[in-house]
Amino acid sequence: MVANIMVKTNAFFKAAITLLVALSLASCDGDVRPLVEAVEANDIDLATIEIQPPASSLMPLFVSPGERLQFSILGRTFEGQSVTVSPNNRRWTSSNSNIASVSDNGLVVAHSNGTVSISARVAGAVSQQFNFEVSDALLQGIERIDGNNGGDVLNSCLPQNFTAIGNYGGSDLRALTGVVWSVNTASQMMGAEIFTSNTTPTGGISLVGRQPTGGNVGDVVLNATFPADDEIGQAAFSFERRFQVSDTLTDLTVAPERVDVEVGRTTRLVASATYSNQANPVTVTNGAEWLVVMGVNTVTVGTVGNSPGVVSGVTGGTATVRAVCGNEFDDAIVISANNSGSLSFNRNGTILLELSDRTFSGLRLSTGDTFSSSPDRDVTNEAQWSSSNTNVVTVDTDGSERGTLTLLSEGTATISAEFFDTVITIDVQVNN
Amino acid sequence: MRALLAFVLLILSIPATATERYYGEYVIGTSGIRHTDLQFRTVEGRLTLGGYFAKGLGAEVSFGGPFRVGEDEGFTVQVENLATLSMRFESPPAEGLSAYILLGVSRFAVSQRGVNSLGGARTVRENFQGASFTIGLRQQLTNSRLSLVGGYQLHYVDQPIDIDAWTFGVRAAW
Repeated sequence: MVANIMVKTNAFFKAAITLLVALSLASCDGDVRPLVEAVEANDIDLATIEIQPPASSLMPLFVSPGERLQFSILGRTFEGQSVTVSPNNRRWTSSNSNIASVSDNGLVVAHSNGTVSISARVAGAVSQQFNFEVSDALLQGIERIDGNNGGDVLNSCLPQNFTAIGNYGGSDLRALTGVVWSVNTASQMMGAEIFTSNTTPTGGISLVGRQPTGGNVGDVVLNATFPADDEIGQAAFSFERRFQVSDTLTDLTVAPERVDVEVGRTTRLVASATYSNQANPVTVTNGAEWLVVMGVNTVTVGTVGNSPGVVSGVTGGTATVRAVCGNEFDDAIVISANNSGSLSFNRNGTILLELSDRTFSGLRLSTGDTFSSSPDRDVTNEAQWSSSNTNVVTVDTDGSERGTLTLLSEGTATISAEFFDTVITIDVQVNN
Repeated sequence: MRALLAFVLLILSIPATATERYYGEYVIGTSGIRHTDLQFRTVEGRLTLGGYFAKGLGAEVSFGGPFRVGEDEGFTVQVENLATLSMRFESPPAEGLSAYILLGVSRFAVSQRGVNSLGGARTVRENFQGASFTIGLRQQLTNSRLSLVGGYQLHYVDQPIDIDAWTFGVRAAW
């Protein structure tokens, strides 16, 4: 009897404790983020926040069901300066999550037709209510193609981003995704190209027009086609925009002028263009054409749409890589070599020289543990040279005389040669 | 205050030999609150009322409010409106000393205040609710209905914030 009661009592205790623990854990509520954000807000002196849709959004904003929009947060300090505020792990709120929901990271997903507002809260600061409409309206036509700051002239070799703007009725204009872009045959002959690998966030494209080498400027016609979708009764629409490729390019420069690349590895060249209608040079690496004009077996270079300006070392040697845009071009010297991680001089021990000889050009450098004069290992003309005592001896650091010593006075000096981050030294003693 | 005094006198007037069924506690708690790299130590007062419904098994409710704010890195923090509903599991006393465990649900607010560059204050206040675990000791005073109590309490709110407290106070039973 007593044992029976004890068993029942133990079971009661166990059940009560289990129930209590389960209830306690299940009832957890509260959010530490405001406390943590308050620390962050003080660090950046945050006063107010404002939420923003993607930069490419048109106002008023309309979106289709299923569409996703990444909102961002712009913060302002008490002095009115803009500060970066991460949209991640914040308290985002949707006024109607059946119409559009928003994640803790500010990713809005549209669900069904209706008007909805989104807001965010950071460290007690509440953003404005951002209103937009979800609508499954069908496209009624392509309104325009935006890009190039509205201008009708394309600077040669300077890529520009373009977006097709669709009309869904009334004030409902949206940046179109799923557009098929093309340039006409005449434009292609002009050298116009579309970067399919460089699409803009809105589903647009990047277009480059080029003045033909040795030719005149001409027109480029860009076409945007929105394909039909019979399932939803969507008709197809097309829109053309015409540009003239300018002859404003005045100079093209490739940097660096000289670069080393290991065989089997890559390095990057950058092309900058100066235009008569722009104050400062702009990078046109992606828009220029690239080719190897000397040493074609030594290196390869990527061109438009395929890693432009990226040079790959194929075998040891020297190559000339050229960027071309219309009538302008510039070259870079590329030294390709096997980097064995070690260097060797053709001389051992201290080099004894007579001051009366004035110069010494017998010092050569190669890769490897022992000196080799084979062209793919002799890097005398590619290494960076220096002297520890330029009162005694200097060393030529440029051109074909690289590594040649000039004797100035009696004494000793250490000559250093550097190639692919490997340094080797040799002592020189100049006697009178 | 008069009512409290009258209550205490009433408790003390009950003979110690009578069966203790209900009790009241008043403890001072010093809470540790830690989030990000900040650590605060606050002080609260807590009043508890409870009763036993079986030997060694009881239920109690406690309420607390802040005495002193905690400070760190230019921020001040205090725990407000602390309320806990717990089940008490208490060992049989040995020479008046017994150990107890409290399992319960707690609800409280953490108020944090920081000063911005213009000298203005930014105060954020967040309510939390979660599990509460307490272990403690109670020493009954000889020939008295009074006991001294001390314990360690941990609040679990399933958030990256640590909140615990050391408490010490007095209990009166009747």
